[in-house]
Amino acid sequence: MAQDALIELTDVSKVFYTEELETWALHAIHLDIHRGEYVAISGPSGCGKSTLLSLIGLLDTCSSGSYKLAGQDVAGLGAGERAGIRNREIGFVFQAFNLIGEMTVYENVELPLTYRTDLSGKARRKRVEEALDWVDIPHRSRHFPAQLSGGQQQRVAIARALAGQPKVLLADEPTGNLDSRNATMVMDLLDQLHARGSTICIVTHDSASADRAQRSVSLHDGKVVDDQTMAAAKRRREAEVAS
Amino acid sequence: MSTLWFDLRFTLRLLGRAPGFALLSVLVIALALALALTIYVLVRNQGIEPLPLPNGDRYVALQHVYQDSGQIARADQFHADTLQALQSRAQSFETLGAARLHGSTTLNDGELTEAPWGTEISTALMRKTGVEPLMGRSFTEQDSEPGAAPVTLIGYQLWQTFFGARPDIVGHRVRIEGEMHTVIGVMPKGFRYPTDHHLWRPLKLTPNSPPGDHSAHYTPIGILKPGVTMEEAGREVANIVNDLQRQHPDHYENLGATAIPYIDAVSTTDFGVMNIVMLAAATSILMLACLNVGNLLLVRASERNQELVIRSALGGTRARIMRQVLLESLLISLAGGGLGLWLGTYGARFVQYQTEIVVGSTFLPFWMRFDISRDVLFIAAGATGFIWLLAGGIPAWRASRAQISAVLGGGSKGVAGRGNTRVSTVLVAAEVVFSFFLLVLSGAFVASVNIASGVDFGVPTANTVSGMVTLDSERYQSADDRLRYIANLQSELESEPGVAHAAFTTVLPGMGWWRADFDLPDLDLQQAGELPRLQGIPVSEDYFPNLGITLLEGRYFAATDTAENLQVAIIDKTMAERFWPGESALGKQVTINPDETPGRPPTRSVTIVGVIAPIDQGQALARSRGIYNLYHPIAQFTPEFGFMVVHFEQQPKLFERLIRSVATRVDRDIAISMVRPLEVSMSLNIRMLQTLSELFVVVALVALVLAGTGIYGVVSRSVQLRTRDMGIRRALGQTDRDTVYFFLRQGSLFLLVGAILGGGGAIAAAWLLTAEFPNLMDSMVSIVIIIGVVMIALVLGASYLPALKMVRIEPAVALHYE
Ligand SMILES: Nc1ncnc2c1ncn2[C@@H]1O[C@H](COP(=O)(O)OP(=O)(O)OP(=O)(O)O)[C@@H](O)[C@H]1O
Ligand SMILES: [Mg+2]
Repeated sequence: MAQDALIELTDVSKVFYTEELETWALHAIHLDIHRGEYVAISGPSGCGKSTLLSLIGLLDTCSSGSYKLAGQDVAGLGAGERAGIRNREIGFVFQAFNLIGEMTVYENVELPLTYRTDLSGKARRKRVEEALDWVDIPHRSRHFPAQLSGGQQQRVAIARALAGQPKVLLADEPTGNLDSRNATMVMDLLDQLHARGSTICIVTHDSASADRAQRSVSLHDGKVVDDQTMAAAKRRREAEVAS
Repeated sequence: MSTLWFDLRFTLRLLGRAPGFALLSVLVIALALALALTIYVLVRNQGIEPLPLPNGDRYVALQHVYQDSGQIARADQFHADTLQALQSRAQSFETLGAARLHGSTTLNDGELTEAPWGTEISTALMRKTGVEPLMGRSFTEQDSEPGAAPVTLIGYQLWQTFFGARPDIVGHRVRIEGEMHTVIGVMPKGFRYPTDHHLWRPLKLTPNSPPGDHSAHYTPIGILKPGVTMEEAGREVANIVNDLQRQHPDHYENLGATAIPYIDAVSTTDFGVMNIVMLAAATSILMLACLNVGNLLLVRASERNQELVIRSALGGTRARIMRQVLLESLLISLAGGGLGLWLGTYGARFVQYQTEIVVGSTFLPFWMRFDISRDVLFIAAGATGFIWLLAGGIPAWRASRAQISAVLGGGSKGVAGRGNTRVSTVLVAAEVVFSFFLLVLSGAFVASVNIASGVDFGVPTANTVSGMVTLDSERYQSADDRLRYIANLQSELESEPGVAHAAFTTVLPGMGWWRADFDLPDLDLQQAGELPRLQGIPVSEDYFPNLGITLLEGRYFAATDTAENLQVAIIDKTMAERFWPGESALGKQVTINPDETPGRPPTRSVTIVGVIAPIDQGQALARSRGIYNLYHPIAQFTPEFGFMVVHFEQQPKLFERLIRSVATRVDRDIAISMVRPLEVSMSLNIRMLQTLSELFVVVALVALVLAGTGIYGVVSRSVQLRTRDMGIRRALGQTDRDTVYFFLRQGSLFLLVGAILGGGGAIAAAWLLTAEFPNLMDSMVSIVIIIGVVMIALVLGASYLPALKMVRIEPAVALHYE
């Protein structure tokens, strides 16, 4: 099975050094994520969820261990190569949306595409328009983020993540700043994406959101303590409730 | 390409959203650049640029060197035989000719006599300029043969004024130095080669002039062969002159020779150290601007931190992110550079205006330029690029290295900003150091020029006019003839109605003059191998009484002080009190040039017969206290040039015309030049210094503004970054006083570092410069105090205001501050 894993983390650790104090945010993590999988990562605050997602997204480097993305060893890559991979293979959605305030909705979505050398202006426009269509905000493209609601902003962020047609979509508590109606709308979008074959990896506290995933990974103190399909997880939870 | 447009559009929008930041940065660059360019335009005319002639970078002048002292004799000093020996033997030169550089030429056309700056020059040198006459013909080889018909070329300006632009000028005959010449052509406007000349005659040398023919002297001018350096040519010339010395030891005693840069030989104003000081000031101003804008951009980059990190997360490479940040600073630098260049044209005009007043527009050397030419553009572009890369580069580099996950993880605002604050602190400290340096140095210069220009020359100037007389032609080789001319001119002037009296002096107060060592036989003055120095100034008998200079002891000069009688001198109170305190100086002997060296003025001994009130004769800034004034009667020391000082009964009107026509009556081949009120002549000596002083005032003001904005920018930014921090502290009970004190302490640290390094450096620099500018240290204490107070006010104000603003925010608000 390992051969068609999209993401392969082997014995990955992450240590932060701060003024003589070392924090083991992640400890000997083994994690394979396959193409088309929908994974939810959960665990108590401070257990290392965001750190794990950062490593997967190449926003940060592992302290030790190996990381293969689509079969390529990416643990030892330089900053420039990592930036290129982030741009082409990975889409991010953050809890705080992280849109650029001085750019219009349209420009925000176009931004990652401008980092590519292989896309003409025309090709960029086509992709931006498709992405905005897909999240259903085409008529807002000239607006600035501050003029949108939180839910709309997060949909723009999803459009921005999708426009680059990434191999994997990473979302760190994408619904953390949203009310339940908007949260549902965002989760629906992710479901649709999954249905179209995207690989999705989401960090969430919200069990309703987590339930939409196929697979649940639980962290505790920087270690994977549980990794099972949603069905199995559900069964066990029901069993616990029953007993 | 389209992505560049994407980035550019965004950058323009960003700048539009922060107009204060953009405007401030642009202004800082523009102001500093304009000032630096102005200073450059002033300094570049002092020989930084090659001559604006074909092969202008290969021109050198040859000068004699006194072998005992190694000093270069900066005047027309070569005799015909030396020149001819060099011309036949030297291999370093493509062309080697000569010209008489220093001297006026009397020109008489019937009624009028004038003395424009004129030269005799080798025809080959004229041809090498490649400039053809506007009308008529140029010199030919035949014109310079001995016995050839006397011909002259005249300058455009002379044709327009003296000759009233008459169309039949070519072929016109005119008296020059007492001999009829035919005008063969008019040179085009602006042609003033070899320096500021308006009349040219071919240099005629007798073939094989014998050594010892001292009837005329010249400055050899050479155009080096390609690839030959000035030093190589200098060595060759020195060897040839050494050979001549071996053959004719009596004629070449103590004389060597060397090659020096052309402009050095012909330039009369030697700014020397001043040039370096000014260029240093210009560089400091640019550095200050660089630090300032760098700081603004750094603050800017930390404001943009979030955006830049998002870009990085989305796959922007470091290069692309640096490009984005550099694009913003590029736009700012370009706008600032453009504006600075535009303002610089006004600075250049200011310099031109002042220089023309000081030098006189007819005396402006031909290579002086005040336009915005290629080199100025080049420097402007270079400085702008430098500011862009240095001021924009550091923030861009830092921005591209921001920790992505830390910032996007949320709740960690200002993580990267902290680091920037540290860099900012270093930049501001550097800024305060530079500001202190510039302020103290500028202050010292301004004060020292003010001392110089506020000086009381000791001479009343009301209703008094001066005019320059030059008596260096062949007809006035004997001292008796010169004396007779001066006496005639004086009595003719005094016979005019309205003229009270006239007198003659070799220098006007404040002008400065040659210096000589002296010794006093009854005192041992030799100290550490150095003798004191004096300025020996020949004046006519009635110069002092006419000017109303008080006689303190003894007598004025008298008609009996002739060459045959006792050699006498008058000194002033300063010298008398220094050497004969408590006793009379009358009857004392002074030995001038006690160590006689060949090629120098001879030793002479004089007896003091009078003591007068002091007159300030020294050159404005170069006036040094160690130099004394001693006056000779002109009958015993008869100069070849000097000034007629004419005192009118009341405010004279058409004085120039009156004096000129009297002079023509006395000798139509001698003209009086530079006729103007004594006051004006004297003030011109300090005019250039005042210009410099004004420039330094601007430098100081700009430095002050830059320091102020820089410190304010950084402190208010650090206050902003600490708002949350301080909110928490205050919530926990820190008082407002403690809070303000916290920021003031930071400001005081800047002050301390700036005062010690910058102020100390400036004082050291000023101290090193006292050799050139003696009164630079005079007001140092008050300057340091004033600038100290100003800087304290500035730095503490810049720290206090933002701190106060923060204290006004309620802690609850501060806690939610992003
Ligand atoms: N840049 C950093 N420097 C030092 N320690 C860090 C850094 N980032 C994270 N940590 C530490 O690593 C551990 C894991 O942090 P992480 O942000 O991954 O937790 P999390 O599971 O996302 O928590 P939450 O649910 O609260 O977001 C924590 O103990 C945290 O203090
Ligand atoms: Mg987290």
